[in-house]
Amino acid sequence: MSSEEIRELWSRFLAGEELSPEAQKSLVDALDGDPELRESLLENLQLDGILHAMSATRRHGEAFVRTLSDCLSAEHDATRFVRKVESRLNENPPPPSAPPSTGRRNKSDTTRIFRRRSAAPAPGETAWKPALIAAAAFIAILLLVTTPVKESRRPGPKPAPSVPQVVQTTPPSAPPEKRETPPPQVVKQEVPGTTPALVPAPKREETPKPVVTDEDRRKTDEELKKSILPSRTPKTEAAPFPSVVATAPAPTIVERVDANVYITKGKSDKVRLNKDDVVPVGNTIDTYPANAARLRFGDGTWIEIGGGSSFREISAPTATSGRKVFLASGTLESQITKQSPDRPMVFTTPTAEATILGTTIRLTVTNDPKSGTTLDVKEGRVRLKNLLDGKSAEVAAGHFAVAAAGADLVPQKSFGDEILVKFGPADVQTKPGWVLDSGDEFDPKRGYGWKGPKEGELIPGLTWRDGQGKIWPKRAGRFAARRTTDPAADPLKTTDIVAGWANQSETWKMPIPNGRYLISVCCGDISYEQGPHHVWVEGIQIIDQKINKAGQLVEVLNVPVEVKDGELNMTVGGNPGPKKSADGSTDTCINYLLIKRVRK
Amino acid sequence: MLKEMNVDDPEELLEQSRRGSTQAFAGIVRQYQSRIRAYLARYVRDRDAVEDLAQDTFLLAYRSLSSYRGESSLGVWLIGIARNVALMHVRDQARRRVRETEVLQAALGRWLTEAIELDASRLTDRDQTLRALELCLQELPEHSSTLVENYYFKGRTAIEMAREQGKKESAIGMMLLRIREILGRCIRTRMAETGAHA
Repeated sequence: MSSEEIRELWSRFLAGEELSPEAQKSLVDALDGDPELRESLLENLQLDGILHAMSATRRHGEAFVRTLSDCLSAEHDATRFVRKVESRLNENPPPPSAPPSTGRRNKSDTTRIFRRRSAAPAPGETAWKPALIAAAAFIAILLLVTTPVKESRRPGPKPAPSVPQVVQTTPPSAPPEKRETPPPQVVKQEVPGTTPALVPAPKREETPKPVVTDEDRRKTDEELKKSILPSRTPKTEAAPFPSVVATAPAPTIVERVDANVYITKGKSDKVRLNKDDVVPVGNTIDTYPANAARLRFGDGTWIEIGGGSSFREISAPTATSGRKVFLASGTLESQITKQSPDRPMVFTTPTAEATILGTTIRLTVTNDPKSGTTLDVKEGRVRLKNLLDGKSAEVAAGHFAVAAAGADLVPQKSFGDEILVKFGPADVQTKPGWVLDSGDEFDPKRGYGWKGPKEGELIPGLTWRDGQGKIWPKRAGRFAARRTTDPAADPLKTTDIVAGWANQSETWKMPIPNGRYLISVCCGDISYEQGPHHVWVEGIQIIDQKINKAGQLVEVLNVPVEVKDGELNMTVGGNPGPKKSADGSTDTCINYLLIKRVRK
Repeated sequence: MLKEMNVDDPEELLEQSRRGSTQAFAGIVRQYQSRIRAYLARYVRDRDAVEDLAQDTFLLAYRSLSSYRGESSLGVWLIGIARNVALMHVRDQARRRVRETEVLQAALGRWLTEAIELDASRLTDRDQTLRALELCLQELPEHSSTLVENYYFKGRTAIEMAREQGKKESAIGMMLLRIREILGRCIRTRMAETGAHA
């Protein structure tokens, strides 16, 4: 293989082309055998990377800084919170009868403390400790569930009928340690809106269930309360325990996940995310392209994180604020359970903030501030704020809006993931899923149309001949045409809009969410030889000087394009080339445009 | 607090960061992110992974600020962290590629691992390389400059550019390779003039 051939293969590889296994092997052998050329090509590859990195810094360097700051602040807050809790715990040492400390409270590292809750017993710990804790928690739940609301939550003098009877294994005098708070399952049973089906099956069955006497139960309950509520516990009997239970947030659970989805835990431990995992607040979930994950929050809200995304729950709902989540990049869809009006759920991205009380939305974030964040609202209303200029707007159901650098935040009509735009006279019978365009000027209410008036100025020196041979002066603009009088004819192919003759072009537009689309276009006059037709979509020439024969149309299917400015543009006509149709016409007849959204 | 701080002074930003100011650390990220990204992108082809690794680098740096004693410049210290992060990533990828029998990717992983390992002995803060590259970009002929601008900075793909120019995609790839070769020579010349490593 010559040096030039190697470089050619290398350039194709760098441009993203997938080389055949044979070509790959030839290239590797050649480069392994020529270290000098290999070094030169590796330098070339490195420069390719540096240029991409320069571009990335220019485009979203500031968003990167914000994301990182956000992450550090969240970490800071979490550390402060844990320190505060620890100091509280230290202020309230266990009762004198408590077993000797294992020294765990001396550890200041946050993650270690949390991990210890689920860790195996440390040396020196006795086997009855977990049993005692489980028993205490279990009894507490049963009492809460079975005690009438009007009464005190403390256990009554008689046991509830449903309490199972098993052998007592725990010395009643040994209270549980402070750190051993009831496991999340206990809390979830009390939180309104929790979906029990989504909670991983509790493993409590494995723990021996001790049966205690009434007296024991009362004592254990009191000790448990003392241990988990060191200083905040009011002296009253009824209030403290339920209040803690009711405000503890239910965990976020992974309901569905593809293979390449990772969660960054603790410092920089990136681990694969699995179904039924609990996702702690502050941890980042990263999905690889074409891999997705669905999270379910305790209130029933779900979020589907699309491929190539980075997502994090910033904070769980509290008594004063709603849940806050952050999408650094990529896409998500979410159905949000009705939220309290004073505690809405907030979706934040590097460029926007969406405040939601309960609806179904789709959020798409690009790394480019000019493309920004796209919000699609399927139900309800959402307030979207552009964080780059502070402006905000309400986006209603069936609409979308883009918050981006330098863009007006204007809600636009949304047409769904697949739109067929039928071009033709206003009386064309459309089918479900079609929108009809008769060549009219763009109307924001309609959501699509052409730039400029339908009937433009006379074009000096240009004429056209009608079916009867009569010659007319030519005007800029568009007109609708029907190519047959047969009522049974397929309207998709027998009607069109004629536009863009000679060097005149016409542009049609439809605001749509940013993203990737597959475009199909059909051109031509089925009754007559027409053309050459020209069509560009988002700057890509899809039809280039094609002439249709009578009875045939020019169709190009599924051309990938990317919309980055919230608007799909199609330009037809113009740019006369050397080709001419039989009658010398130069206009483009557009029959339909099919727009299909591509999901990652 | 940041308003009273000189946001261009790395020493001051470092001092405030050590005291726990995330705002000050954001200032450090702002100053050094282009160098860190550029360093990582030399060895990591996946652009999303570069973003992740750059974030990992700064997070690790923030948590290790107490261990930075100023023996090297802050930039070199950060590049050192980035080097370790990149090395782990590239090794991991190379192992995966072997399993996936992607011959070229596996070989690339091997070559890049060797290159990063060699890098340990000549860590610089890379600022001069980026400055040299920026100057070299300005010296490109107009057609080459437009090609680079469209491909790297406007995000156009080789396919799109090939369609527009009526050329084959491979021709665009080859043109870009030649432009990078020119840029590489230009950077080496400029760096040699200043006595620095590329």
